[in-house]
Order: sequence, then C-alpha cells, then structure tokens
Amino acid sequence: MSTRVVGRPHPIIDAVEKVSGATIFINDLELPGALTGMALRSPHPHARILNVDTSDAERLAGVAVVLSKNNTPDAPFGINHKDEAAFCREKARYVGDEIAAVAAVDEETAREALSLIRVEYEVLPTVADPFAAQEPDAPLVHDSVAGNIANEFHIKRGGVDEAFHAADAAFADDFHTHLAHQAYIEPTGCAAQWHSDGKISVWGCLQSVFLIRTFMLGPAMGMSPDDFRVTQTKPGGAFGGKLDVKAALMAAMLSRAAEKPVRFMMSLEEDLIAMRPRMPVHISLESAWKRDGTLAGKRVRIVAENGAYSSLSPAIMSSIALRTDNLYKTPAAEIQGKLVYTNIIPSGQMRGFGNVQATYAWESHLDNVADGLGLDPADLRLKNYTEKGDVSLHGWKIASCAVADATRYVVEEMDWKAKRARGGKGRGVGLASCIHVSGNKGFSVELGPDDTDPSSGVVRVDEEGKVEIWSGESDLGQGATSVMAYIASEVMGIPVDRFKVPPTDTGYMPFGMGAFASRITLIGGNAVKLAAEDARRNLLDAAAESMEIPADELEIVEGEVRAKALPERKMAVGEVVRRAGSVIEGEGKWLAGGDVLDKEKYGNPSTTYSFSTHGAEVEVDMETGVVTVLGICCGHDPGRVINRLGAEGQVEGGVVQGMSFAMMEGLAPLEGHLRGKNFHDYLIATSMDAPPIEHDFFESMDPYGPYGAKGLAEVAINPITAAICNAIYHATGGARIRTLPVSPERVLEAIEEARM
Amino acid sequence: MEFLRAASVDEALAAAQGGAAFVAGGTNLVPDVLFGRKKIARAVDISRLDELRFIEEADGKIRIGALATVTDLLESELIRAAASPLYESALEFAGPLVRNRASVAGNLMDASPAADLVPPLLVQDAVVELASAEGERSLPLSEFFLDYRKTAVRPEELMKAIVIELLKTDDRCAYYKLQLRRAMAIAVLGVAVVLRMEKSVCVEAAISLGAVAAVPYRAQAAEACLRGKEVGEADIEAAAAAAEDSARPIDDVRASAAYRKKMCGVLVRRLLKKALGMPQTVAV
Repeated sequence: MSTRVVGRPHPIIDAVEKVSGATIFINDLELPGALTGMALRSPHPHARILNVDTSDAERLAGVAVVLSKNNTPDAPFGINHKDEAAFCREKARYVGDEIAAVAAVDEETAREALSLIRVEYEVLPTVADPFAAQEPDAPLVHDSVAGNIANEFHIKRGGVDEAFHAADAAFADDFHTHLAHQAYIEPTGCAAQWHSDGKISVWGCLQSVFLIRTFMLGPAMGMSPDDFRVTQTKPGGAFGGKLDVKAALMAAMLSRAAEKPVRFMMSLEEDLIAMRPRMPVHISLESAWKRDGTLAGKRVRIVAENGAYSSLSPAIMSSIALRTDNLYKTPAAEIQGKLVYTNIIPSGQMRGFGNVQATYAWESHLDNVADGLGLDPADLRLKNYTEKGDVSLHGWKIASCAVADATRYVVEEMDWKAKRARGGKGRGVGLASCIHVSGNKGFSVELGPDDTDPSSGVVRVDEEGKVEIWSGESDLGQGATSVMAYIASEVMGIPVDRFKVPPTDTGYMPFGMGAFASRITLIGGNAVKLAAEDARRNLLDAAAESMEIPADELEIVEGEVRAKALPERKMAVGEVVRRAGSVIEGEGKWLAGGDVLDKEKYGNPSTTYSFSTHGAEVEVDMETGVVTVLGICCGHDPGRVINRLGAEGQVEGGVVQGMSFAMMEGLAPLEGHLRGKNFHDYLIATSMDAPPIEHDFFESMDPYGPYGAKGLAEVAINPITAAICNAIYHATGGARIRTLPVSPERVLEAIEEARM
Repeated sequence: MEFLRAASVDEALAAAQGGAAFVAGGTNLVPDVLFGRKKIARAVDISRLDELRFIEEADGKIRIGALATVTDLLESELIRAAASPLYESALEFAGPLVRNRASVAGNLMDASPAADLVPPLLVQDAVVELASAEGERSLPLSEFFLDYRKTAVRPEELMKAIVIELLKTDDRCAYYKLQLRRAMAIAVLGVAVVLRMEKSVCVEAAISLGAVAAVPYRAQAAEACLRGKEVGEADIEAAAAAAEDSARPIDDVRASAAYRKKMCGVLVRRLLKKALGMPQTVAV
C-alpha cells in the first residue's frame, strides 16, 4: 500500500522543543510552596531495625514532616508478591532500602533532618549468593519465605528425555549475567500535591501513569486508585526502569502528611543504588541435536536473583525461561526456574525484560553447538528458525516472521563466509538472533484491569485544524507519541506538523496500560488508528453537510477536505470544524490478541512477535583481553517501519546500549554493597565506543499491526551481547564468555581456558 | 568554606598562609567537595593567574605552567615533539570538556595512583616547582607522592610549574593506557617508557607505571635490566618480569590485582618492543 507519511523519515514530533531546551522535565516542574522530600536509606544489606528515633529531625526548624514505620500503616504492596512496604518495618533488606523520609523547606534542611534521624540496627548476615541462599541453614531475607525462594516452576513438554536419548549429540553450557542499571540520563523524581478534598496529583517520568495507581499508590496508601491523578512529564529516559517508581509513593505520602506539595528528586547516585536494575541470572543449558543440525530438545535451569523484593521479577524469570524456545522449532523442552531472594538491590526489568539475558545464553550456546557439530552458526540458525504460521512448543502463534531474511542480510553484508573462513588470530565475526513479544497478555491480569490488554485513544480536531491525540500510553523516550502522530496523519490526510500528543494524564485521557513489552506501536497504534479513522469519518460527515456533497465523494488531502471529482471544491479542516460548531472527535479502542498463559505457562502471550539478527566483528588483543568492536551489522523485522528516523534511532540506540551492557556496565555487588554506584565507576559506552552500524529493516507486514507494524524497541537490544561474544569466540579460537560483562580480564581468562 | 580569588601569585600565596586548596580547573576538587570527599576550609581560586599558563622551552628543558591545561598539552608543538608519551596520555585523558578545564598541576595534586599524566612525566624526570610565602623549592616528581592520595606538598604551597627533560629526536618511547572504555575512564594501568640509545646501546632507560601501587612510580629494577645493554629479547623479558614483580596493585571494580600485575609484564614487554621497533609476540 502506498503511504504518504508511514515508512518515511521524520524527526520526532517534539524534537525542536527538546533540543532547544524548552521541554519541562520533572526536575523543571515548579509547584508553588513545594517542600523538598528526601529519603534515609539503609547503609546495611541486612539488618533488624530495633528503633527509629525521628524526634530530633522533627524538631528541626523547616522540617514539615518525617515519615517512617513509626507513623505509617503496615500496608504491604507488590505486583507479584506483597513483599514490599513504603518504609522498612522489622528489617532493612538491601543497601538503599527506605528507612524514613522527610519533607522540609529546602534541600539543606532536608539533608540535615536525615542526619538527625537515629536508627538502631542489629546487623544480620548478608544473603548475597543465590545458591548459598537456598541452603537449609541460610539466613532468610523474608522470615516467612523458606529457602529464600520467591518463585519457582518446572515445566516439561514434548518428550524431552526421549529427545536426549535419541539425539546424535548433546551439549551443555552455563552462563551468568550481571546486575546492570538502565542508566537513563534523567535521574528519577516525582512530585505530588495533596488537595484538600483528600485527592493527590502526582507527576513524574512514569511508564504507566494508570497502573502505578493500582499496583503501588492505592494499596500502599490505603486509597482508591481514582484518588490519584497521575500526569506524565516528558521522559528523560526510562528503558524499563520507570514502571515501578517508588519515588511516586514517597512524594505522595510526604505530600499527604505535610498537606503541601512535595518534590522528591533522587540524585544519580541514589538512583543507582535504589531503583530496579536488570535482573542477574544463572542459566544452565543442555540441548540435544540430530547430526544434520536439527534441534531435538533442550533443558534449561534458571536461578534468577530477585534481590530484596519481587515486583515483576517472577514474570521476568518466566520470560528468560521460555523466550528462546519460540525462536527455533523446538520439539521438546524441560524448564526449571527458581527466583531467589538476596540482600541486594531488588532486580527488575530493563529493555528486553529478561530476553537480553536469555538470548545471550542461548545464542552463545548455539555457537558452541555449531562448533561441535561442525556447522556454520548462521546455517545452523537458518535450519531451525520458526516461520510464519508456526505454533511453537509453548503455544506461541507466529503471525509474521522475517528473521531468516534478516540473517541472510547480515551474512551477505558482513562478508560472513569469507570472514568465518579466515577467523582466529584475534579477529572474528559472530551473530545472534532473537524473538520478542509486542505486548504481553499476562501483564494485563497482573497489572491491568482484566485479561484484555487494552489501549484506547481519542483524536480531536479543533477550529484551527490542529489535531490532538490523547492516548493512555506513555512515551518513555522511544518515540511513541511520534508514531501515533504519523499513524493518525496517514489516516486523516492532515500534515504531521498539525499534530500534538500531550503527555499521558489519568485526569482526562482514556485508559492505556503503558510503555512496556514493546506494546505501544502495535496496541496503542491500533487504538489511535481506529480513533483517527473515526475522526476522519466524523470530519467527512460534517464536511458533507457544509459542502453539500456526499461524504463518500470527499477526501482529505493536506489538511483540506476536497471533492474527489472536483478538486477545486475544498474546505480546510479547521473551517469544517468551525461550521460544525464544536471540536470534532474520534475514539478508538483496541484489545490485544493472544492469551493469558495457563498454569503450565502454555499459551500465546502476544498478538504477534518481532525478530532481529545482529552481527558483530571484533578484534581481540590476545595478551590483554581488550576487545574492540569494529562494526555491527543487523537486520530487524518490526513488521513495518512507521517512522524510519525513529526506527533507525531505536536500532542504533539499542545496539550501543546492548554493547555497553555486554562490555562495561555493572553495579558490581560485593557482599551486598554496590561498587558501581556512581557514573565514575559505573561505565556506560560513550560516543567514542560506538562502532559503525550497518542495518536494514525486513518488513513482514504483520496482519494485526497498524499498517503492518510490530514492536521494535526490544529486538534492537536482545541479540547484540551474544553476537559480540560469538565474535570473540571466533576471533580467539574458542574463548567462550560465560560471565558478563566482557571485561578484558574475563576475555583473557577465557583465552587461557580455551588453550588448556 | 571561605573562597578567595587571587589577582596575583603573591596574593595567592599570602591567602594560602595557614593552608588552602588552590582551585584551577576544579575538575577534581569541585566534585570532591560536592560529594563530601574533601572538606576544605579555604579555597583560593588561581584560575585567572594567566602568568601560570604557559608551556615553554627554557634552559634545555620544558617548563609547564601550573595552569596549563591538558588541551594546552595537545596543542603544543613542543610537547608533541619532545614529550610524546605525555602527548599520548593527554589524548587518552578524560574527554574534551574535561581536558579544556583540567590543569596538568591539578592532575598531580589530586595524587590519584591512576593519574594519567604522571607516568609520562616520571619518565621525563619531572621536577615540580613549589612556592609559598616563605620561598620556593623544587621537588622531583619521584619524591612528590608519599602514599595513596598523599603528597609532599605543604598546605600553604602552590605548584607553579612542572619541569621535564626534553626528549631527543632519536629517543625511543611509548605509552599505553589500559582502560575499560574509550573516553572518560580511569586507567586500569598506565605505562610509559623512554629509552636513550647510543648506537645500539641503551644508555638510559625509564619505565613508569601507574595504577598498580599506592603511587605511580619508576620501575627501577626493570630499568636496570636494560641500562648499558644492547637490548635483546632476554633483556626485555627480564625487564617485563621485574616490572611485574614491582607492582603492588589492589583489587577494585575495574580489575583484579592479579590481572593488573600480569598486565605490567605484558605491557612493559610490548612497549619496549614497540619503542625499539622489534616484532611483537602477538599482532597489535
């Protein structure tokens, strides 16, 4: 289908506002008379709290309120387990756990007040290692949870034992991923304003303004979700980390207690020790193969590090466990998962939602398998990829799929065959693929209203011909608002520069689940597309009346309603609205396809799935272990590109972020204390580290997507870690990186191990 | 904190009687104060004392004024020609914004064991010129660092300049910073070597190491393996082993002590071979 807007390169719609410094981020938001909120955090990984004495802090001039377990209700909350509280009650469970919070006239006073709070701790042994944590005599992070097991499951499907028994070859590997922060540029912060009717307004860079009311604010404050009006501020980055934002709760509680507005802005250092970094996980893989490279079955054992509290971690572990089985035709699988509490910062979701970790492990393992079977790693993958029309072992229905095209592109573009043949001597190439959801129905039950995973949108055209889109879905920096504007512009025949998409606001906008699981382009995009179609119909009906031409003989071109047969008979859209006497609106609602998984985790969690293949070429210094990524080449299947510039940005950003995760990032916990707790010691890739990136899109034109589009954000990051590790393996003649990040020291160890 | 801006060196020295922190670029000092790592009673701003901002050749040596920035090093033909390890370390120093502000003297005063500019300054026998209201004195850089983040500079003393020997055009030298990313990274290891040759004999050898002990230092035992010799593979191996032996690194978030120690040997061997134009063990 020929398109006017969709598929072409456009700047994001608020680019000028952002680069000119006009955007109001949360830290710029001024509320008259606002107090400064700050938290006192536990310095101990694990300690019993014997006493919290806030009396001196309360007496300090300028302090409005001090909150702690002493004066707040015991109201546990949590998405999967109610294992969290606003403030530590009997114990502190990680360095950074909130003990108390103050609201004061300014930062200096707030800081002084924190220093006046006296806490008596009885320091307890730290639970740092997830394996030791399961020992019978291990100390317990939560006294009521035996063995420190927060969640576990065991699934067996398709005759695994028989598959291994009959296999020509079997391989086994262990991998371990590290604790890494989302490292967004904007530190987390929220503001809240208590109103005399008992309701509270909350502002912040939040991925889901609607759901934070139901899973955190309401239950933790003993209020109804409707008592909160939550407004998103323009995003300064989130990458998954700003879904469960406790700063919102801190600001709201302080504001209610002080009966004044409160700004609760975390420092970058505080953000690094007290938000929800990417979950570390130990993955043990075994796979069974036929001699010709056909996958016969696999066994997966996962020990995932939950940290002190659960939040979405059970779902992340589930994603790690099952995801890669659906990328290849997998006849049989046995999967065991254990989610273990430790006295480390609670782990959480980041771009990929476990799939970065799972893909790293499985795709690294695949290259070991290819080596063992004497096959080319690209050929091995091409032989086993899932295809359109497949229903996977776990019930995933593949509605569109161009992963094989993406891989063939990478192979050709990188001159793969020649480079593979050369190999060794410190230079090599590797590739890896992934599958990812576009929305995840399970969240709709865990987080949302019911099992529909809904999104809704309103499109409003005003008397000046300007169009405003209201969607319940958040822009977290991924360009969602631009995608919505381009879709609606395409539908309505009104130029993109007339569109405005204000930040999400529960006060007047229709419901949306929010930005996670790469769901917005597909689910939010479909809702906006329906709303735009409705608005277009309503515009044409109104124009038909004014122009006295039947609606079906009219079209909208460049913001003007024209008679198809008589192009000189035309009326500007704004004029149509003026004559109609009021704003012309359209509404749309779209419910995601797929199922909520059953107890055995069987079912089709998403309407459709996206794919990608990443290739990397590296140079390895065989004496120091220093790895230089010389180039990246990748192909993505996002169904259909809506905004080419935005899509390119997603790919380049995802690849570099993934490379950064793979090679240098790490909070590096040591006995419960983080060592990478500032951006001095926590390294993220700079522009100097970014390699040249070649890429292209392989549009599978998804039957369910708006104009055929699926999600792109997460397939852009998932495979790069394994691609780099596979390139290192090739370059070094067998150095396999089993623990991340890929530090020079680890590479050197792996080189030495490969020589033995 | 008391803050004074000095209009002249004399004024700065007078203001510093009883002790002061001198502020030049502030790239270390300001974050240290903001994050509570340093408590300062009196800060004396010397950033406008233009007379301290120079890089010049004098009496057969290079004098680097205390306010010369790292960018100034990169823009100096003299440094490029006659202090190439220092030039190379400046290229790897932080990023452009920090290089524009950070002073060479500040990098020394910060006394980090990983200070990028120190290994190159050590191999060129740097001497620092210190001044106070009492008078002036010179101190070899090799005696400047007393311990981890501790210098021999007295609280009232101002570093006015750093003086280094000129490298000759046929001196053989090399520098390497092992780091975990390509910019804004603290060194895992910094190594500089200079060999002075007369015909095929090495008459003078200087090897310095950073980030492998409490202070950056000259690896004298390694140097002794080369001095007075027609340097061959065996001498280089001996020097590499001696360098490795001399290291007293720690484990930290960037690398283990064992890795750092091992890399001392690897990099000293590599840089010596590079300086002498000998083939490397592995292609680099």
